[in-house]
Amino acid sequence: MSDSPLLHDLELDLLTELFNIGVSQAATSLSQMVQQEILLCVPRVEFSTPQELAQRLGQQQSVIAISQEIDGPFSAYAMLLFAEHNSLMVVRQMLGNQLSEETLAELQQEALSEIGNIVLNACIGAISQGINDSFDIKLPHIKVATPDHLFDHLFDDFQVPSDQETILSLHIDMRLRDSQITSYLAFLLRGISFNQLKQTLINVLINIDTPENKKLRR
Amino acid sequence: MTTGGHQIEYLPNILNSINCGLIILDRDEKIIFWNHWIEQHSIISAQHALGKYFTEVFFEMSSSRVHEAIRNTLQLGYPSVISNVLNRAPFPLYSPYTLEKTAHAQHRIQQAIHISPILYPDNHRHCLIQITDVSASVMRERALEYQVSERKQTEKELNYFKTTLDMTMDCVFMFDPDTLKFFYVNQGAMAQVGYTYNELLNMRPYDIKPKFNEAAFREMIAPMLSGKQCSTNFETIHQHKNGSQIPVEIFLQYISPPGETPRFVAIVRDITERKKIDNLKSEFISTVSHELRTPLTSIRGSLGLLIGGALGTLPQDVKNLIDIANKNSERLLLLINDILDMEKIESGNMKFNYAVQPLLPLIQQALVINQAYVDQFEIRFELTTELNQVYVNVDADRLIQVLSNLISNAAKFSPAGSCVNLSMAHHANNIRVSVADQGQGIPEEFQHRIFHKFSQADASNTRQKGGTGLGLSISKSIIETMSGGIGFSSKTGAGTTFYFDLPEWDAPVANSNCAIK
Repeated sequence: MSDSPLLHDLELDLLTELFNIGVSQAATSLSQMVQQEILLCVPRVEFSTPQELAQRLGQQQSVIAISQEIDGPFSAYAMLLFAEHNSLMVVRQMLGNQLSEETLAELQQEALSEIGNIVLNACIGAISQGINDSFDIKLPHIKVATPDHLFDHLFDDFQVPSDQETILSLHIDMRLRDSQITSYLAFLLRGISFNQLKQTLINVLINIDTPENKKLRR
Repeated sequence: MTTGGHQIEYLPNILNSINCGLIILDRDEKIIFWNHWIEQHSIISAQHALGKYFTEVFFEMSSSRVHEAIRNTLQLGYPSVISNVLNRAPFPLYSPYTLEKTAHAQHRIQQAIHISPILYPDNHRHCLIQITDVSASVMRERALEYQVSERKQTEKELNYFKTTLDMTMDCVFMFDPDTLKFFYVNQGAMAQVGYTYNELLNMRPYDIKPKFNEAAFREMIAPMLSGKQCSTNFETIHQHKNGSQIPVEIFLQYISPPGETPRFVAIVRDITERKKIDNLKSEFISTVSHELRTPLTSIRGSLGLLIGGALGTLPQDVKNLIDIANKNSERLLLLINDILDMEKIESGNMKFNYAVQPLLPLIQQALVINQAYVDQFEIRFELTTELNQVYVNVDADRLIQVLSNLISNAAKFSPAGSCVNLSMAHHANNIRVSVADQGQGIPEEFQHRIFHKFSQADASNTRQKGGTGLGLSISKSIIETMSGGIGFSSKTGAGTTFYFDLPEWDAPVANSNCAIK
């Protein structure tokens, strides 16, 4: 995990706050859909390299990624990542599904797409509202891969030099029934996008009506 | 018109022939496109749907998850995936191939829905709804789910039986009928012989049974493999890995269910304790019997002298009482002799003086010895045989003991005035001697216990018929020791036939060895 020199503490706090608003909306939608209480929260937002994130996801096991491409004030791949066995647990806990752990059947993938879509939309929505701007968002697609290969080619598309590959990653704790499942939400930012994000956040922070800001503006 | 213009005109044809449902809504949720697939599956024509509000056509979907997603798309530009798993068949769509189109939710096709924003040339956001029929996948997955849950259930049951068998205190060994190698042993079995599971998988039953070698073991299981016998019960010794020996009782069964690999299962019980107790019991009986016999012999002698008139003629009433005492002391002596015989047989201390000799004289001798006893029941004996010169290798006294037992039993249990038939004939490779009476027969419920110690069909009969209930048990042991077999056939009310079989021998020739025929 990198101690982020990239974003100021205040900026990270703002992002954490925005994402928490987003996931709590997602939790409400999911709870209604499956008629059981689902709690989501984002305890931490940080920057990491693809390798660090892969390590956190566990090198050996497969990871399910539900990703949506977004374009607007900044461009990114927004990805919701589950360790494969966790993803199955999510579907099973929500639906009481009988299928064995080895079987990620196609309909379960579709269900995961929907769950991911709801969480991602909510997070992107919260940012849009926070920065008072909007994004073009593509339909989600699902990918199963080992953590090492999860980000293959994605950075190529974004033309990011490998030493600058950084991922804005969110820990998402999902609590349902008796289990607590940790997933990750990763934003892969285009090189140029990162500065746009930072600038956007600074603008927001300046415009918040705190006593300090008022003093500054005077 | 430009080529591009042609393409745009051509587009509706493509969208109409595509194999999924397409609906396009304008920014006010009015339907502006309705493809052929949707017409077929909803039974609503494009003509009817176009220009109407979405919720006007699908009234029931107002404020549903799909409707929310449509609003999100139109207002915020968010795309949505609506899965079949989390939302069962939201659109009222039916397969065009089902004849009965009932508007029942359970007949709806299963749907995967994608809702995405499209930017219309007028720069307004429109909403594209794509619906795919996933009914086939749902059915496939349900079948899979069913199979999985069934397999889990079977596994659970199997596991349950396996752990039960593993934990059973009796030792269970299973082995292959060809290689004789063990393929299953339970925990009790491993503990008894001290080998690990994997060690035992490379061993055979005779590796832990010092009294057997491969040939002897195969000979023992042969009748089960040929189907003559389905199980056997025997006592032997198991040798522990550390060399110690354990007396065991083994129930061995051949199991050959149709369609499955045949196998032997052996249930082995450690009988160390039982053997100890049996030995103690035998020793006790033997000691007590000896101690009883000595004074009894004196009592009988004294009574005999009295009856014989050694002290002069006795008054009639005294003589009656002395007769009773004498008869009962004789009976007591018989009982004690039987018990001592039994004990000798069980401890292996009974001596047999074998000699090859003709069988017929032995039978005749037994008849003569028992004549006086038989006479009191008013029974006639007939001996029928065509085999005058057959030889057997037996201890003459012991064989006469067996014959006497069968003859006296037949006399005891026959109605007065009836006839008991003795016969001798070839049976298989043996000589069979049969004693057939015309008595009441042996009750079916008693038949399986007839050769057990102290067995009499009617315990209340003991007084009336006399006897200790040891005779047949002793006879069985004697015949089996002399390589023969004993048995009976009986029909209630139609008499009983007891028989024993002995191997036939060649007549002895001076200075030559005898041999079984």
